[in-house]
Order: sequence, then structure tokens, then C-alpha cells
Amino acid sequence: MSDIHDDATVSTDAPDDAVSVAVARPRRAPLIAAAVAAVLAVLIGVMAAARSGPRDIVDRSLVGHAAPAIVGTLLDGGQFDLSRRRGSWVLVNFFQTSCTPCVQEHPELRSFVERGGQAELVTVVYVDSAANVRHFFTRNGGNWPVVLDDDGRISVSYGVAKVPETWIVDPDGVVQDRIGGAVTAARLDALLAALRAARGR
Amino acid sequence: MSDSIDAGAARPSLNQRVKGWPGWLLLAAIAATLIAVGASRSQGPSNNAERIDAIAKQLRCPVCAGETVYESRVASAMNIKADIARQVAAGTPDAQIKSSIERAFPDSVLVPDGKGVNALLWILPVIAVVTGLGALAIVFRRWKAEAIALGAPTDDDRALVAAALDSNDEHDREP
Amino acid sequence: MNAALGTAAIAAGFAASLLGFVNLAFALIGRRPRYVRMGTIYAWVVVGASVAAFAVMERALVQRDYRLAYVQKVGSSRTPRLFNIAALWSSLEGSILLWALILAGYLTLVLVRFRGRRNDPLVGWATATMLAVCTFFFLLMLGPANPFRTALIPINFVDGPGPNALLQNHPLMLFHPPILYLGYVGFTVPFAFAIAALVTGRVGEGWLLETRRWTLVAWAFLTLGIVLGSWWSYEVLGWGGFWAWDAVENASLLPWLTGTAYLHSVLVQERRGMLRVWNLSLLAATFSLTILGTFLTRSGVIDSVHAFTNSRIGPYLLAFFAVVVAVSLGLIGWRGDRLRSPGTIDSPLSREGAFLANNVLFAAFAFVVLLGTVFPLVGEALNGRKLTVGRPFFDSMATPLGLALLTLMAIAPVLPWRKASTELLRDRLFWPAWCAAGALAVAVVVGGRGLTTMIAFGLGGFAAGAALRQLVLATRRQGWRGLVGRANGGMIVHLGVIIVAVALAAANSHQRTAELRLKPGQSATVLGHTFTYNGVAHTEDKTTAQLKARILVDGKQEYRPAQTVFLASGTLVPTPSVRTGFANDLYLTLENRPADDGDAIIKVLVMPLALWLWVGGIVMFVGTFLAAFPGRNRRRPTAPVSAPATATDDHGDDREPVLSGGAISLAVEPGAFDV
Repeated sequence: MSDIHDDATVSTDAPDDAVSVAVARPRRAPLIAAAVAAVLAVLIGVMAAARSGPRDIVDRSLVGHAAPAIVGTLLDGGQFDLSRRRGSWVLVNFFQTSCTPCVQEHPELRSFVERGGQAELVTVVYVDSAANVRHFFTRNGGNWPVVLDDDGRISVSYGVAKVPETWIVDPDGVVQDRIGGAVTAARLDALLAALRAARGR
Repeated sequence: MSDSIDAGAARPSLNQRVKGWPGWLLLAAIAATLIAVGASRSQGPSNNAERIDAIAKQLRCPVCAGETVYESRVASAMNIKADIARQVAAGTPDAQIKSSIERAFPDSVLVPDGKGVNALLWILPVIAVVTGLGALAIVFRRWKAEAIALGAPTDDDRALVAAALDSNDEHDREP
Repeated sequence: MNAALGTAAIAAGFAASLLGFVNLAFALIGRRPRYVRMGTIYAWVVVGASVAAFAVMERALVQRDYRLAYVQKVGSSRTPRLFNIAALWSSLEGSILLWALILAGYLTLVLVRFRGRRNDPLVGWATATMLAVCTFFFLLMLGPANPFRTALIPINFVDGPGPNALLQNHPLMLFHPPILYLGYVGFTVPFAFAIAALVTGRVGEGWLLETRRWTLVAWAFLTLGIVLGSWWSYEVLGWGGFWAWDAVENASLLPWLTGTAYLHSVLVQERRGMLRVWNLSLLAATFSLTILGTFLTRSGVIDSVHAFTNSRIGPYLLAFFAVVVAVSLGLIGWRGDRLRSPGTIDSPLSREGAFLANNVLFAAFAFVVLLGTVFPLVGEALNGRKLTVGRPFFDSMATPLGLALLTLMAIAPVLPWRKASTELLRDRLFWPAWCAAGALAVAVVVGGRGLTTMIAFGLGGFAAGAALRQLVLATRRQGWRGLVGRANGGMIVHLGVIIVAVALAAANSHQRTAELRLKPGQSATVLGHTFTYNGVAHTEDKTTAQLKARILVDGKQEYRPAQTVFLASGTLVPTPSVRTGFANDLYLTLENRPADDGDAIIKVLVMPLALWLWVGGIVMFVGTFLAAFPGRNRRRPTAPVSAPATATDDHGDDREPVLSGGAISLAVEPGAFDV
């Protein structure tokens, strides 16, 4: 929007009468104003349509790919390696004692395990001390492998930033699903049944 | 209009001589040398800690509101930093480190690549600057042509200005 | 009681501002001067209402009146009194209350300053515009952002959480928001006068001279607010940075950019009556950008560490932004062609040409920053994926633009109006160019690396040389008065900008980092300093519990970077320990929570020239007030711009009127084009 002088000739004989010259020039200002208004209207539209706040979408780009390796020390001292669980369905659950939904889903996981058979459950400790987790499992029960991840490498390789998260890995070691937030035993059963059916076909 | 004598300078002729082309050429040579010396020194991270920081500054913290991994102190960011540190210590090249984090945490890398919508981000500013400078150039050229077309001031013009100055000089007596 | 009083005050403010606006509009359109007086009375009521509402809220906070939802949110008996007062603006509703108060303050100043010209339609429309803005902000407080909303006190309520932890631990919280708001809100006044000028058709130079000082003051406060904000990030947040191109930071930068362009471009309008449309557009853009910035900060649509909680306020702010933009564009589109001056810029190598180029560059800069800030929204709208635009984009755009602006800063002060010859430039730029060479030499000696840094140093020296040349010439001629006045104060501001630019170049590219793992009693030498870890210290006060690592630096002084826990909320904040020196800052952070006899992980940052960022900011602030100081020989608004300068506060370069046939422009009297 600069003072673009138009190409009408400027007379040199009379002192400039700004009013009359203004009338003689083409009306450029409304055009430029309209163009700017159009661009800003688009911007306002985009901003109006935007949803505010953080979005809680779990990214599913690892689904369908090979599950990253989980190799680590167990809570009770042994070694764990995910690749040795090929041949069965595995649920990988990321857990932290100070995370309320994790604590809330624990009884569901217990009941899932105790009803037996559908899949093997393994918990990965997310940013927590072994002592805390041991204490938790002692108090609340739970008899499945718990892998320590003190340097966070397992969490990073799975792209875990919030807990709880539950991953479903099929017998070939391929990720079939990723669930963010607390899960129930019923939901896990349903998901596994559907995946098994799809795979069986 | 070269009546720009720096008040207090020595004899004008010495001043003029110093400011002539030879002085400027010497200056250009010195400046160019200094720039070359500085520019040729190596830039970039000089140790592992700096490399880690440099990479961390290019990755978005996955759960924060707009912080980079470098700035954030949340657990996932600390984990990612630790992972970067491990890979830097193992000698992995930067691009590979970034792509490994990107695989696990999509849309982390803060420099949007030039694909798809992101290309707009790089193209629009270039278009804006080019348009702006182009418009300036066109406008200046047009004005220059007009000024030349108007020719030299006439006596009438001079009289007009003199009259205006006279009438305003009276008003201008105020402090 | 507080709630009732406060709500009443806000309702009164809303009613008065709405009625006042309608009244004034009615009076001005229908030319009924008697009603203008009524409008002024309404404006005073608005002022009173704002002050009352603010006072009631402070009272509620000091009394810890938890019946108010807002006090429940940000008040706490553990917060020290001063921070409790500052807690008023620590969250959304209170920040709108602060905005309304400052707006009322500016309205008061306008009413007082222009009380003799009450019947002037220009002043009348300006007041009406300001009342319209007041109406909006009071509407916000009646509706979505009600600070006096009551809430039942929860049964097991013991104490409030206090303001956000990060907003509690530094005295800057007392100053930064009010100063920033003084800047933002201050731009309302010149905007109001711009609208008034457009509506009345009096687009001569009178209105802009009236508001020049207001704009300078607002700009000064905005600059100071931005600098304080970045100092706060650096001192408090512990990640060693001062500018992250975060959405909220950009929101404060955008009006600063257009405001700076305006302050320069207005000189061309004063001198030659040109670039009027640019100036009006820049003012409208500046004000619109303050509203847009408020929207981005408070609506939560863009991720930012600074963002206030998102709320229903977004649509209101966006609607107001749309209204402001529509009105501005409509008025400029309607009047724009009438504004054009018959003058032209004959030669690009002239002061006017430089200012026009300046406008274009600043506009491009603002465009780029705005694009980067809102692009996540555009990207998400187009393909649904969450997109983040971070520092690398902004840095790569800002650097060339910044260097171009530095170049202009070097050349423009020596350019005369109308036309310059190469001999003239060669002559005047000679000593500044040697300053550039000197700066380059210094850069090489202190270890500058990389082409961009060297060029930045060189251009910085060049621009500093040009500014100093101007100041030296002026002080030689006028003594101490050579340091005040528009041009000279402006040169001082330029020096401040150059200091900041050079310090930024150095700090960004020459930062050195090292990480140390030390056992208690162990020493290490890195980056030219020795660090000895002497164990931890635990301190606790009413609000915080700190775990401090005691680090002896160079055997001389002990620094204590800490990890601070805020007891009320449980948040953990790393507190850095900074040793400021002339050449660089030594910045220590504690990265882990060491056990009493365990290892401490300390991160050491050496930040070159960090001190000069703050010094430069203060120089800019002080320089602006020097520039606002009246020069001895003020040019009358009606003096023809081609007149020989009678020893003005600028350097009297063009002692002869330069004529080029027919295209002489005479500054017009206010009121010349009354329609």
C-alpha cells in the first residue's frame, strides 16, 4: 500500500490541487484494501476453525511395523527379551506409580492376566524407581514380568511420552495396536479377539 | 552536493584526498580480509555436549506446549535427551539421530521439510520479499521517469516557492 | 461484597463506554457540539469504573477473599504480599482487568491533554474510538472473562494454590506485564487518532504530530517489556535462552515491528507529506496486531509455554480483531486515494527512499513472523496433522532481514532528503566504514567465527559509526542539546539496537556448553574456568523448597544452581545461577537431584555478550525518551517541508530547497480537507 503515483500526467502550470488530482486518479486504494481483506478473511477463518488446547491423539505410525526391541532387566533380577516371545501375543504396558490412570488400570490388568491365556503381559517402567514399583506390586499384586527402563531407551524407541500406554504385539513381533490411556480387561479381550480373527483369516 | 565538510577536520584537501577512492579501496581490502579470516574459522558444536544441545534444539518436546527438547524438563524430553546423548557418544551422525527420534515421535523435527503444505512456509516469505522489493524497484523507476519528464524548475516555480517561504517566515519567528 | 462491588463497577464501565461511544458518534455525525460534552462525562465514568474494579480486585486478593473464583485460583496465604498483588495479572481474567485499567489511564491522559480541544471533531472521534475499545474490554469482563465470578468454596479448602510457580519466583512479575501492557495499550491512542483522521477526512499532518509522542512512549514501553521478558526467561527458566520464537513472544514482537516502521515512516510524512497511506496502515496494523496477539495468547489455539489457560474468550477476541481490521481497511479503502500526496520520491538514494525501503523490510519481517506463528493452524486445517514451526525457521528468516535492516541503519542517517550523490555518500560514510573495519578487527581478535557473525559485526560497526557521526556533529554544534530531540535521540536508540543485534549474533552462535559430573569435593576445569562441587544445601521457605548445589567458581565465589519445588503445586523448576561479566555470562544449571553424598550433574554455559543485550535494551528505552524531548527549534506543523531548515534538531543538510518542477509539497493545515 505505497503511494503509487499513477501514470496520469501531472501538469506543471498550476499548483497542485490535491483534491482534483485525487479524483482524476484511478481508485487504487479500495482494490488493495479488498485484497488485504481477502487474505485476512482466510486467516480469520483458519483461526476460527482451530481447536484450542493440547490434543490427546496417540500416534499410530508404528502400527504395522516391527515392534522395537525390549531388552532389559526385570524387577526381580532376571533378563527379558521381547524377541524371545515370538509365537504369542504380547501386551506391552508402560507404567508409572505416580500416574493415577496407571494405578486405576492395574486391577484390570490383574484380572486380565488371572483369567489367563489370551496374551502375555509385560510392564515397562516409565521414569520411576525400581523401589517404588516393587513396593507397588507387592502391595497391589500382579505376577507378570516388569522390565526396568532406567535410561529411558525403551520408552524413547516406542515414542512413549504419556502413560499409561498399552501396545499389542502379534506373534510375529509386529505392532498391531497402540492404546493411550487406561484400559479395561473387557476392552483388551475384545481387541485381541478381533485381531486374532483378522489374523486367522 | 559535496559541501559535506566535517567540521573540525584538517585542511579540506587532505580530508578529500583521504576520503577518495584509494581510501575506500584500502578499507574494502582490509574488511574483506578480516571477514575472510573470521568466516574461515570453524563453526558449530565443538564438543559432545554442544552437539547434543544443537540436536535437542531442533526437536519438539512431545508433550509440552511449544518447547523444544532442549528447553523442556519433562520426563519424555529428558528421555529423548538421554537417547541423543547415547547416540552422540556412539558417533552417530546428526541426521540419523534426528530421523530415529522422528520415527518414534512423529512431527518432532522442528524444521518443517519442504514437502506438501510445509513448502508454503518457505515459499511465501520469498514471494513476499521479492514482491516487495520488486514493487519498490518499479515504483522508483516510475517516479524517476516522472521527475525527469517534469524538467527543470521554471521561474514561476521559483516565485511560488519564494512567496510561500516569505509568508511562512513570518510565522516561524516563534522559538 | 467484593463480587457485587466489582461486578457493579464493570457493568457501569460497560454501560458508560457504550453510551459514551453512541453519544459521541451521534454528536459528531450530527454536528451537535452540546452532546460532545456528555460524551466526555461518560468517558470519565469509564475511567472511574476501571479504577474501582481494579481496586476491588486488589482488595479481594489482599484479604484473600476466597469467595471469588479468581482469588481461589491465584490467591494463597503463603504468597508474599507483593506477589499477591501481582497475582492479579497472573491469570486470564485479571489480565483483562489490568488492560482495562491501563486503557482507562490512557483515556484519562487523552481527556486531560485535549480538554481544550474538546469540540474538535478529530479529538471527538478519537475519544469515541477509545470508548469503543473500552466497550469491548468491559464486555469481555462481563461475559467470558469475569474476574468477579463467585464460586462456592470447596469443603476441604485450606488454601489457594497461588499463582503459577513460574510466575512467583521473580520480582519481574511485578513489572513485566504492566510495562508490556503500557506498550500494547498505548498504541490504542495513535490508532484512535488515525481512525479519527480517516473519518473526518483531515488527513493532514496535524493529527500525527499530536500523537507522535504518545506513539514513542508506547513503543518505548513495549521495547522495555520485551527486553524484560527475555531477561526473565534467561534468569528464571534455566535453559540459557532469551528468545525462543514462541507464539506469545512473537505476539509482542509483531506490533513492535510495525510500530518501529511507523515511527520512521512518519518522518517522511512530516517532511514531505508523503507515505500517508503507509502510515495509517501501519498504525492500524499495529493496533490490530496487539489484538491478534492477545487472541493468540489467550485462546489456546497455538501451543506456547506462556499461554494463559484457554477459555471461551477466543471467539470474542477474534471477532473484535475482525471488526478492527474491517473498519480500518474500510476507512482506508474509502479515503485512501484522497490521501495521496502529489509528491514523489525522485531518487531511491535519498532519505525518503531509505524509509520506504525500511517500511517494506519491516513489513516483510512482520509477515514472516506472523506466517510462522499461525502456520501450525493453517497446516492443521489443510492436512490435519499437528505441525510445529520452531526456531530454525524464524532464525533463518530473521537473520537476512536483520542484516538488511542494519545496512539501512548505517546508510540512512547520512542520506539527505530528496537526492544523494555518490560523492556525498562516499564522503559521509567514510568514518563509519572505518568503524566497521574496526569492529571486524575486534571480532577477529575475540574469536568471532562464521560468515554471518562477521557480517553482523561489520554492519553493526558501520551503523554505529553512522549514528555516532550524527551525534558527534550534533553535540559539536549544540552542546548537550545535541543528545536530545528526535534525530539525536533516534541515533541513541539506534545505538541500543546495534548493541542488541551484535550481542544476539554473538550469543547465538558463540555459546559454549559443557556438562560436568562431579563428586562432592571434586573439581573440573572447562571453558576456561574451574568448578568445584562442595555438596548440596537444602533450603525451605514458605513457598519453596530448594535443593542447591554449591559450586565454587575459579576458587573465588560460590554459585548455587538449584532445583526448586513449589510446595503448593509440586512443580519443579530448575533455578539457574548466573555470573554476569562484561564479556560473557557464566550460566550454571543443576541437572539432577544429587543425594547428599552423590554426584551432581552441572551444565555450564558460556554466553558471550549477554550483559549487552540488557544494556542495549536500556539504551533503547532511554533513547526513546530523549527523542521525545522537544528540540530547541521545533518545526511548526504548518511549515512547508521544502523550507530551509532553520537550525532544527536534525542536521541541517539541505540548506537549500531542492526544486524539481512542480512537485513541491507544502504541508497542509489541519482541517484543510474537512468534508
